[in-house]
Amino acid sequence: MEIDVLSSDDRSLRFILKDGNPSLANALRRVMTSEVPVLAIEDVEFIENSSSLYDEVLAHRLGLIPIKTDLSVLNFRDECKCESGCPSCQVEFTLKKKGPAIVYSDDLKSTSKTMKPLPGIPLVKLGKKQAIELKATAVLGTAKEHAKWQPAVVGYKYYPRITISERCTRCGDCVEACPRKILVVKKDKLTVTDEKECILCRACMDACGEEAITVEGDDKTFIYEVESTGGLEPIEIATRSCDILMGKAQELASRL
Amino acid sequence: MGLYRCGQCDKEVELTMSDPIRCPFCGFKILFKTRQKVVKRVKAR
Repeated sequence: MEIDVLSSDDRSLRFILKDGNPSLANALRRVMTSEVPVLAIEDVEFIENSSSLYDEVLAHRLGLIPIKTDLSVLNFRDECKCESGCPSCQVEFTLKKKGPAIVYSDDLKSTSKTMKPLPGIPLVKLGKKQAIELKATAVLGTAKEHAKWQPAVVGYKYYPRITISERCTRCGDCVEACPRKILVVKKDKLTVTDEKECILCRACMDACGEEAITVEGDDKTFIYEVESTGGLEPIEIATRSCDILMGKAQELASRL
Repeated sequence: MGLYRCGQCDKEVELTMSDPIRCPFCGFKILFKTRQKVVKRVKAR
């Protein structure tokens, strides 16, 4: 199996997986979305809340804020050696703000230097005489339990294989029909500029009167797109998911 | 027993079970219960 990274930055990752199969491709996607742990606020203690939002609604909003996570120093809370919460299984935040103001995720003050919420997310608008004071506790979890612990949105597609036969008359109908504009007639020849951009919609096949063009998905090669929520780097999500999948396979083998 | 706030004169009113639901200062019959000064624990789900 081979992996080609197409593009990578701190929020998104695109790569090609070669010599795979559909079931493995989907397993990898599912592990990335729902088995890779990430921090999310789980418990909130309200000391004061005279804002226009109910405690429960505000707590729900807090839970959905992505938090930069360092997995190397954290354990799951129920697997931690401590009795009830320690710096290696939870991160605490405090929020104190008086109106008139807009409360942003930046206002959450973290006990950790590295693990902070993503800035710039508005939570609630405070009017005159309104105030919020609360303590929040973030713990590791997986999206199997709640979607707030989902580290990324992951999708994949079969690698598009576009073949143009001898019957092609260079009429240009397929060039017009293609929504991704990846077909061009150049020097009296129909060529594909970037087949990775093809979405397998087969509009070119429908447009072609000669049935000269065929588009097929290669079910052994996959193009993945990983879009992180911001809690973990996409590369880390991908590598962690491989470790988790491997661990599951080993557990199965050892129990058989 | 609880703390209330009058809907008309905005004064704080303390009522017991046997008291009529009425502001003792202005006689207004609409009272709003005020938030208690206790820490409230909520699950972020």
